[in-house]
Amino acid sequence: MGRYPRGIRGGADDTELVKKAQRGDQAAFDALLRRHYNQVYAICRRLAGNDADALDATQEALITLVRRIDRFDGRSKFTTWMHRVVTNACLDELRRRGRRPVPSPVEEQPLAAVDRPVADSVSDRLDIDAALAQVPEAFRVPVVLCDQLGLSYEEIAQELDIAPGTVRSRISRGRRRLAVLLSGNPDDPGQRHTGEQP
Amino acid sequence: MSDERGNMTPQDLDELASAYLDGEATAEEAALVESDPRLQDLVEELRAVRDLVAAPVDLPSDDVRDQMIAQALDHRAPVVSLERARRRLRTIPPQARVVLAAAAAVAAIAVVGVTVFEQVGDDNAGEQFANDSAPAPVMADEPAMAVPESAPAPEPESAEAAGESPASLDSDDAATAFSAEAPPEEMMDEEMAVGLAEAPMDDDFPGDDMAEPEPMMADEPEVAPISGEAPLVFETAADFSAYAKEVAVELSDPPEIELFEDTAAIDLMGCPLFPDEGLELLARFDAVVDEVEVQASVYLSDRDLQLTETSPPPECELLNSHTFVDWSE
Repeated sequence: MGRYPRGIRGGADDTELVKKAQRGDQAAFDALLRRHYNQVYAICRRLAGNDADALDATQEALITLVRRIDRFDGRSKFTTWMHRVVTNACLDELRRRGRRPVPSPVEEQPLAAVDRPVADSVSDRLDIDAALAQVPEAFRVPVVLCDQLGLSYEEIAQELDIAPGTVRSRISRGRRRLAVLLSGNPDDPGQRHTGEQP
Repeated sequence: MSDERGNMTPQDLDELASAYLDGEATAEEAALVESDPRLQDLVEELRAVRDLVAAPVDLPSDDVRDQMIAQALDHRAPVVSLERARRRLRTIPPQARVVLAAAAAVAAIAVVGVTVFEQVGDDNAGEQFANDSAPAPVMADEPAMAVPESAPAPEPESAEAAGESPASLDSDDAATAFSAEAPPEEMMDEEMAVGLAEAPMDDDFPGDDMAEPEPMMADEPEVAPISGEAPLVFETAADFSAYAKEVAVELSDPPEIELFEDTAAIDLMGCPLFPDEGLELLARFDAVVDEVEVQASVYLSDRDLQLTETSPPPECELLNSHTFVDWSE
């Protein structure tokens, strides 16, 4: 489901690289960042909503990883720790900018044609950023971690320190919001949830 | 089956369909979904949404990636001169020293213990992951997306906040003031406060949210906090040894302590911590000397030690805190 091979999501190689990086091995650190760069960027891109903010957020996330690698204690998978750090760094960067995710200008158009089914347009890939930007952070983050990275509910629960049941609920509600936004159909069954607060 | 559905709210149905889509539904739930065409329709609707979110993002070019990684790696700690390390050491807030003094009162000897690990080829050196019997600072792997409600009150991090005049500090002091306390919390927007009510404190750490440091001299590199996220890198082993001793002096009150002179490569008879034998850890920090990773441990002890130059045995899990112990805990 995720867009990036699970083979890069952890394992013994990560452990060894982390240990070396913690001991100051620059080459190991470079390899570690290079290995996970795509995931880091993907998280930031989906949370930020546009390329420019995603690049800035990714840079901050990478710097944070470098600065904090000594604090990774090995009690969890490196990727679990990394996702936490990256998600926080990205959200912090967006907050510092005092903004919600802002889609690229080309995406700032009506989300979808009325009565258009979800995922039925070439502009879907553009629309998704605009739609995600309107989904509260509490729902957006677990949806991105689940759908973009392919993490399980248990993994997401661990990373966000919430119960798996809460993850399940938030993902569901986040997707419903997205379905409503993307369909652009006021009669969409999803409208039954539009009164919900995050 | 329809009876089973009958008691479900629309949100329940969405949740069921969503969990099924992710393979997270129970067997019973899955059977329910598979037997109900309306639930199947919901699954397909949410699948379309999921596929959109899961669509691959356009990645930056390799050049941009390489540049970003290189820039991030530049944030590793630079080499620090002994003088700059000393100046930073003096920025330890008074309240921290008061706490440390209480520990010193029960100790007779201060020991600077230094454990040296080779960067390559030392299997034991890799066993440095935390085993924090000492109070730990806020860790970087704390949950993402947090609300501040469970966070302790922040301690002043800058020298100014600690009651010192900014004018008395060196240019790097504001950026490197010591703190063994929890970091300040960022205020969250209302949406986060509501939507993430279950999430605990933020992923900040000492040094992240301190006041903007004063500009430094052009030839002076930025120095990582003494309790911070990167090891100190000393120019020479002698500098490191001198600094380690000064840490013991600075943190010991009263200062009538005896320092072992030969501290270049010392292990405290194996395991670095013997709390039941009268050793008290004052401080620990990482350093790099001649490209060798070093863990410096500053102890107070009520007895002599026979110091040997060994790596710790495998059964010893070293603290990896490189931070000062908060004795108030």
